[in-house]
Parts: sequence; structure tokens; C-alpha cells
Amino acid sequence: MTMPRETILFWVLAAALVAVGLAFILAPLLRRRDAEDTGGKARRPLALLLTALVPAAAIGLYVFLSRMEPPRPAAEPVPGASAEATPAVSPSEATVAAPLPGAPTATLEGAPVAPAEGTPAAPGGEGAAQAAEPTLTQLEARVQERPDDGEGWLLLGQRYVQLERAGEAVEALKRATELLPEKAGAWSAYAEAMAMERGTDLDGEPMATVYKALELDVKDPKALELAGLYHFSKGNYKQAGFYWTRLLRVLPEGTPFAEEIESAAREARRRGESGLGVTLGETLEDALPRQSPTPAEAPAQTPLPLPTPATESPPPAS
Amino acid sequence: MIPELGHFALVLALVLAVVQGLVPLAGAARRDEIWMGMAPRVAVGQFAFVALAFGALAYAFLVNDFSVENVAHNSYTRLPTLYRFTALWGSHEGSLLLWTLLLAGWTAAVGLVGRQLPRDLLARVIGVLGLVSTGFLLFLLTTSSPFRRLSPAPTEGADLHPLLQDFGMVVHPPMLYLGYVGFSVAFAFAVAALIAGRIDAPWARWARPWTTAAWVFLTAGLALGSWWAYYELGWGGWWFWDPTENAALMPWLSGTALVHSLAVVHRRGALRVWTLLLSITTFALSLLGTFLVRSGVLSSVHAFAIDPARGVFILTLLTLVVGGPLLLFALRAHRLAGARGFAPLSRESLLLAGNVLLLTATAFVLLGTVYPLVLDALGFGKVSVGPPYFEAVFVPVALPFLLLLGLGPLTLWGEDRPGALGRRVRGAVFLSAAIALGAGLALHLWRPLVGVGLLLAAWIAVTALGNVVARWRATPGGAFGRAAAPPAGFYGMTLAHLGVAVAVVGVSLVGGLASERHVRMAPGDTVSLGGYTLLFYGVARVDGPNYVAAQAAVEVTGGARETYLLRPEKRVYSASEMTMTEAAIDSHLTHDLYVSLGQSLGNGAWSVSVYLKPFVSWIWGGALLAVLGGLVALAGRSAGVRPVMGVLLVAWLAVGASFAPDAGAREAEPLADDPVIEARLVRLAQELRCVVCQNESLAGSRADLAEDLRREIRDLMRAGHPDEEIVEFLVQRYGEFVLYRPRVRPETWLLWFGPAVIAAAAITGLLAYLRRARATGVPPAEGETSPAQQESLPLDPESHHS
Repeated sequence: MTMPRETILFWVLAAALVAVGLAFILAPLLRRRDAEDTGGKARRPLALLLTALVPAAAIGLYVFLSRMEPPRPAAEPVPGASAEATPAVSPSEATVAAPLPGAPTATLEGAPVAPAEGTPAAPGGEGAAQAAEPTLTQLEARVQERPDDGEGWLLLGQRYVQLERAGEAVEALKRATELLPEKAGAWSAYAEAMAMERGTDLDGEPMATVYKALELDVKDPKALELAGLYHFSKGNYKQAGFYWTRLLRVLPEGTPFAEEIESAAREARRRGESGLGVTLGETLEDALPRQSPTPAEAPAQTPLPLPTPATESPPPAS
Repeated sequence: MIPELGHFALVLALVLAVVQGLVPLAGAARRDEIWMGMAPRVAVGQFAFVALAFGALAYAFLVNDFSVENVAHNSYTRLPTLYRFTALWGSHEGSLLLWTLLLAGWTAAVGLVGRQLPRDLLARVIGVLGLVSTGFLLFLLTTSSPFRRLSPAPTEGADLHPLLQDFGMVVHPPMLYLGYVGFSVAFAFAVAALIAGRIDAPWARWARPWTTAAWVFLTAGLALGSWWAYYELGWGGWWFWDPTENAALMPWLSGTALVHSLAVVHRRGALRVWTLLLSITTFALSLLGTFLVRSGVLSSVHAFAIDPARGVFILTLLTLVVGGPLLLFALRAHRLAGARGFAPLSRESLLLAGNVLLLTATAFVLLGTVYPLVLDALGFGKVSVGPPYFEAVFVPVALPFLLLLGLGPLTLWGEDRPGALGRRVRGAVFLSAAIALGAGLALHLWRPLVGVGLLLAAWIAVTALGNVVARWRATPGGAFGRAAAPPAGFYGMTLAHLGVAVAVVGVSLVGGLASERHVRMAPGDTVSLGGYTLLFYGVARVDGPNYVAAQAAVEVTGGARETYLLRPEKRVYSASEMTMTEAAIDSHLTHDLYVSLGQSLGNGAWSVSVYLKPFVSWIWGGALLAVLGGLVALAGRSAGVRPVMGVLLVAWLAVGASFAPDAGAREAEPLADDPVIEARLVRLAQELRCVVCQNESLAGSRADLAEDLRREIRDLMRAGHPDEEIVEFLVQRYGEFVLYRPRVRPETWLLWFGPAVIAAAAITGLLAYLRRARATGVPPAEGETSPAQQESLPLDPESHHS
């Protein structure tokens, strides 16, 4: 379409289509009928009108619609494609985890998760990430000015969590969940704050809140992270691995803590002797006739590798 | 460039649709022959351009043109070619394009076949369809263009949703849409009659086959969808009362009523106004179904599109398409009322009563489907309305309906006498009772609802077959001449009613006799169920074209055949990383053995679910018969039809049956040590929603969380907690959303008491109507006539010129 020659060809073909369309309309109008032609007067003006209107309407409408919907930038993710294609996580939705006992490596402390298109913060480079963010005072002023601003309360609560001011965080985030009852990120942040207030214990209400967040959005990173931590602390390694693997898929590329999560997920899976991996090839593979339909067409490139047996390598993270 | 040309063709189709919508209608108003005469040609043109657009999109899918957004989101290089084509309607945009294509196709078919129709009727019908097409094309082009580009193009697509990568899903959507969209023709006929202000004999004669055709497709689509759910969702259910299923069920119920009321209009000239209203309602329900499924207001297995702007557009379209005709109806309907009355006891009145029951059921389904959405939208929180609710309200309507279904064909048109009807019916009553009793004895089965189901099935079958015999007896001539005498429509009706009987047997028995076991199986373990013994060999890895599967090998002994292997699978799709269960089903005439693979439990052991589903295939067999009946009625009176019927019947019956003793090795461990607990769990879990899944019960879900939750419930049961406490615990944790049977509280009063109000209103309305119908005058009864004799008379002359 950008090539002029192609443009010309397109319009030639389009004109041909218009001509065919006109033929469908005009043929019955212009066909000679018997002598007693009742609509004789009416048909000529109508034929002229349609001959003028149909091409104009078709071309005008097409041009208008093409202007209205330019090609979308492909930077927009293809849902479910792979880890690299995930909805941008807004900084407000992903914040820090309360360090929980029993979780070996996955205490993702103090790391705002960068949005997909933003520059990923360097590990430990909190200053760079925070430079663009409003200060605590600004956030406090914002909610004082507009007490119904759910986003404001959410940001404030998350900041309190970062500063480990649990009580204030719980207050602010409770308010945020009341104002934004449909926002998964608010509920998961609230759960985190509650857990922090209770001395990093997710049992009971915090975990129920995490489930609530997952119900609203199964991709909420904070909720996935907390659910993984909870199950890890309970010894449900398989579940922990499940949630963390999901989390990895949700996190944008270049998240500084991806590696930590990955190793945590790997550890969880190792302990949980997970789903497909372990038993495959171990049991009666030799006894049974091995069926392997040949792939229909082997693609030139394989950007989305098959899930590998979970015992060894991590899932396709990127 | 191909996608752009497709887009351009779609724009041209819109322009043609506008012409098709305006010129013929204006022509009919001005009585201009030429303007009216344009209708068929323009309709064909519009279809050609939509087909061109469809072809362009199909091409983009087949060549993996990922620069087209729709292709990138729904296809994948390693997707098998067939699914690359059907992925076209796996998305919102594509399925709407399919809808529009089918609408244009039906219109073109009306234009081509309907040359003998009165000119103004044809012009009006095509004009109305053109206006509907205009709405859909505008919707496609402004909110859901399937030709949108991505720049730069991604190198790989996101794959088609794995649930849709199945043959059932290849056929089911087009069938369903053919049905949905087909009702637009009935709708257009109704609106044309309202515009013209008259209904004459050709109107009914022409509206009827189109409606039957739409009904046939919708029935087939529903049956295919149910069959697909049965073998693909992995837990042996055949109807889930999922909102998307309900969305298709509503137009089907209303369409079934329409098919029957059209018969009354055609034969007797009565029920005209009612039929018009039904035509509009049925298409409105089709549109509502599209709205529910495609706007994303539901979150369920089928609803993949979420976009409120589209929802608003469809809702507007729905308002226009339904509101306009309803207004016209309010203004004009009284003029169209038939002059012909009928007695409170007559075939007409029974058909009307059946119609009212069908619409009452439709209203119940509508209430249960829309209620949670409205409650949620109004901020009263989430409730789940699931199978327990629908079964509770649906069955009381279904039972009298089935009773009427048998009685109707035995009743006289115009007026019947209770005494005479009683004499005709007596034999059938005794015979069906004897059959039901015999079946109950043979199956050792004494549940009341199952018994009632069997009795009604026998009743329908006996009356339908008895009617055929009576008809043959009333006809003079040799055996062949007698069989050939009744019109094809009569045989079609009989087949369709027999189909209902067969399906009712399936539904009753699968509900009453199904058994299941959920066990932990390590290689070498066995499990027995209903005379079968299953030996677990283990699980091997199998690589599919775009997935990896864990495939179990399960050796089955005890059937009529020798030992054989079943191979249930659990697949992980590469691109989407979604896990799907592929059950292995061994299907017999009298039962299905259904094995599905759960999760790995370590050390080579897996959780395995085995179900024995008696007579489950009869449900779809019945639907198949009903479809066949519709086809026979459409095919017209042709001697070639009957052998085909016979062959299809025999083919269906020849599937085979089996039973034998069992042999044992090491018995597999049930997942709950205690079978009592397992039975309790299964019962309880059916009342509960799997909170992380999209509208699945906890009993059925294969999600990890659901398995965990089931384990937790087992533990609670073992600890001695009664069911109520466990439910309370779950409600505490997840909210009432988890309950499929919402609790009775002020917010749900309407849900629970609404059906009673609707039923009362329907019965009152019916009685009032019948009393008035009587007042308009009834033709005198002609001595002791039988329906067979009455049927063999020519069509009522009055309906031809009124």
C-alpha cells in the first residue's frame, strides 16, 4: 500500500469492483421491458442518482474509514502470545512484596515494575525509577484535595507499603478498594498491606483478598506473586510454581527481578514435581508405541518454543 | 493489498445494502414494478461483495499474513490448515463477518428462489433484510473491522483458542449462525406483512419453509455444540446452562413455537397476530444472543470479546430492529387478525398452549441469564445462576409441554369433544404406561423423575407412531399407496416428535443412571465401573503439530469387543500455553464409557476420572431425528425420502451394545478413600462454581485451583463437617458468587418468584385468549371425525383468500 505502484493497482481493482457493483444495481433498472413500462419516468433519474452516489459513497467511506483506523503499532501486544507480549503493567499496579518467611529468593523488595515500553530500571537503581514519581507529600496532598480519587489512594497506599508504614498503608488501600472495587491491583495491594501489618502473614483475610484480586484479573502481578508466596509458605510447591510461572509471563521484558522470580519458580517446581514434566518419559514411554505426528509445517523461526519438561529449564520467559 | 480489497468490498457491500434496503421498499410503497424488481439483483450483488471480503480474510488466514491484526491474534504458523481457515470465525470480528455473510446469503437465496412470490412481498422482504444487513455492515466497519493492520507485522501469531481447535467447533458456529440468521427471513416476512397491512395465503406458504430451514440449522447447531461440550470439556456433561448456551436456546425455544404457529396460520388461517409477534420475538432473541455472546458482557467459556463500545452498538441495533417492528405491530396488528376462531379444545388451542409453554420457558431462561448481569450492573454484587436453578424452573414447564406434544396431533382442528378425544387417546395411554413400566423394570430404576421422563417419552413415541398408523388406515389403496399418501410434512412432524421422545429417554436416563469414579492411578492399577475394568498403563508424551500432550493408555476389558486401549490426553498448546483435556470416549448405543485424565500426582500416578453415561448418545440421536424431520418436511413429498430416512435410522441403531463380567488386578485408589465422601463431593461440587474458571462448576473444572479446592473439601468432609458448614466456609472465602443456586434474599426475589409470576401470567393470558377465540365463532363439528380423516382433506379453503 505504501508503494505507489501498488496503490495504483489497488485503486484500479477497486474501480473495477465499483463497476461490478453498479452493474448489479443498474442492470435491472436499465433493462428494456415490455411496451407498458410503468416505471419509465422514475427509472432514469434513479439510475443517474445511483450511478453518481454509489461510487462516491463507497470510495468516500473507504477513505474515511482508513483514516479513522490507521494500522495499529505492533508494539501493542498480541494477547497470550508469549511473555514478551503482555499488557503494560502500570507502575501503580505492581509494587513491592512483603517479605514472607519461607520464601527463599522471591522477596521482590522495593522494585517498581517498569511498564513495557518504559526504560527498565536497573537493578537497585531505585533513584532513577523514583525520579519521575510524585513525592509522598504530593500524594498525600492529592488525596486530601480529592478524597474520592481512588487512583490517588492506591498510589499513596503503595508508597506507604514501600516505606513499610503498614498501618497507614492498610487505611489508604482499604479506601482505594472502596473507590475502585473492580480494580484487581487495588485489592492485591490491600492484601499485601494487610499481610505486612500482621507480620507478613497471608493467612485468612489477606489471602481471601488475593483471591478476590485474581477473580477480577487473573493476570494481576501482585496477586500472582502473593499467591505464589502463600502456597510456597504452606508447602504447596506445585501451586507456588504455577502462580510464579504465570507471574513471569505477565511481567514485562526486562523486569529486574525476573531472574529472582524465575529461580523461585524453578525451586518451587523442583519441590513440587510438577505436571507434565516428571512423568513424561519416565513411565511406560518405551512400552507404548510412541506417537509423534509430524509437525504440519516447520516454521522458519520458532519464537515460541514448546514448553520444556519443567524439571530442568525454566518456562519460555521471553 | 488483498485485505484492503476485502475491506473495500465490504464498504461496497454496505452501499449496496443501503440501496437494497431503501429502493425496493420505496418501490413497494409507490407500486413501481422496476424499483421492486431491483431487489433480488441487488441482494445477490451484496452477497457477492460480502463473500469477496470473506474470501480476502480467509486468504489472509491461509497465508499467515500476520500483518492483519485479526490473523495475528487468532492464528499461528503451526496451526493445521483446516483450523487456519476456521480460525476466521474464532474471533469477534470474523464471526460477525460470517454472520453478515450468512445474512446476505439467506437474502440472496430468498431473491433467487422467491421469483413466484408476489412482487411487493418479495421486495418488502428483501428490503427489510437489506436494512438489517446495513446495520450489521456498519457495525463491522465502524467497530470491528476484521481487516485492520498491524505495523510492523509480528512474526508469529497468538494461536487460535485451543478449545476451538476441534472438528465440532469447525461445524458448530456456521450451523448455529445459519439458524440465528435464518430467523431474520421469518422476521422480514412478518415486517413485510405489517408494512403491507395484510397476510394472505402465499405469505404463510412462503414464510413457513424458510422458518423450518432456520429451525433445522439452529437445532443442528445446538446439538453439535452440546456434543462438542460433552467430549471436549472433559467431564461428561452435555448441557451446562452456560449463558452462551442459553443465548442459543432462547431463539430455539421461540423458533420452535414459531414453526408450529406458522403451521396453524398456513392450514387454518388462525393465530396470525400471534405468529407475527413470535417472528419478531424470535429474531430479537437471536440478536440478543449475539449481543450477549459477542459484547463480552458475559464471562463464560465462549465469550472471547470484551469491548463495551461494541455492546452499545449491538444494543442500539437491537433496539432499532425490534423497536421499529414492534411499533408497527402495535399500530397495525389489529387489522391482521384472522376471522377464524377455534374451540378451547382443538388442535389450535393445544398448539397455542404449547407455544405459551415454550415462551414461558424462554422467559425463564432469559430471566436466569440476564438476572446476574443486571444485578451486577446495579451494584448488588455478583450471583451465579447455574444448573440447579434452571433445572428447578425448566422441568415443571417441560413436563406438561411433552404431554401436549403427544396429545396435539391426536386432536381435531377447529373443535374436538372430550369424549371422542378420550376414546382416541385411551389405547396410547395404556400402551405408553406399559412401556415405561417395562423399561423401569428392566433397568431396575425407581426414581420418580426418571419414571415420568420415560413415561412421557413412551407417550410421545406411541402417539406419533399411532397417528401414522391411523393415517394409513384412513387412506384407501395398497400398502405403498397408503404410505405415500400423507404429505412429507406429516412424516417430518412425526420424525421430529420421535426425535423428542428419543432425546427425552437420553436426558432422563443419563440424569438418573450415570455413575462415575475419580481415582488415583499408577501404572498397573485397575478400576471397575459398570462391568468394565480399566487398566492404567501409564502416560507418554505425544507431540502434536502445535501442542504437546500427555497421553495415557488405558486398557478396557469387559465390553462386547475384545480388550482395547483408550487414550485420554491432556494437552498444552505451544503458543497460548493453555491446558486442554481430551477425553477418550467409547460410545455404544446404550451407554458411553468416558475417561478423562486429570493431573499428575507424581511417581507416574495420575488422577483419572471414569464416567459411565447411559443412553447419552440418545440425546444427540434425538436431535438428529428432529433435524431429519425438518429436512423431510422441507424436501417435500418425494418417494426418495423414505429410504434415506430408513438408512439413517439403521445406521444410528447399528452402533452396538455390550456388557460382561470383570477381572481384577490391583484396584486403583479412589481420590477420596471413602466412596461416600466422593459421592458427597460430586453432589456438592455441582452446586458450586469454580471461581477461577469461566462458568464451570467445581465438579467439572480441571483447573489446578479447582482440584485443590476439591481436595480441601474432601479434607473438611473427612474431618466430619456437614455440607452446610462447608458451603458456608466457601461463601465466607469467595462470596455468594460461588453458589450456583443463589440464596433467597430480597435481591434475588425476582429471580426465584419471577417464574411463578410469569407462569401465572401466561396461563391467565392463554385462558382469556381461548375464551375470546370461542366467542368469535367456531365451525360446527362434523360428527365423529378422526384427525386422520381431517388431515386427508385439502387445506382449509378459507385460509387461501382472507
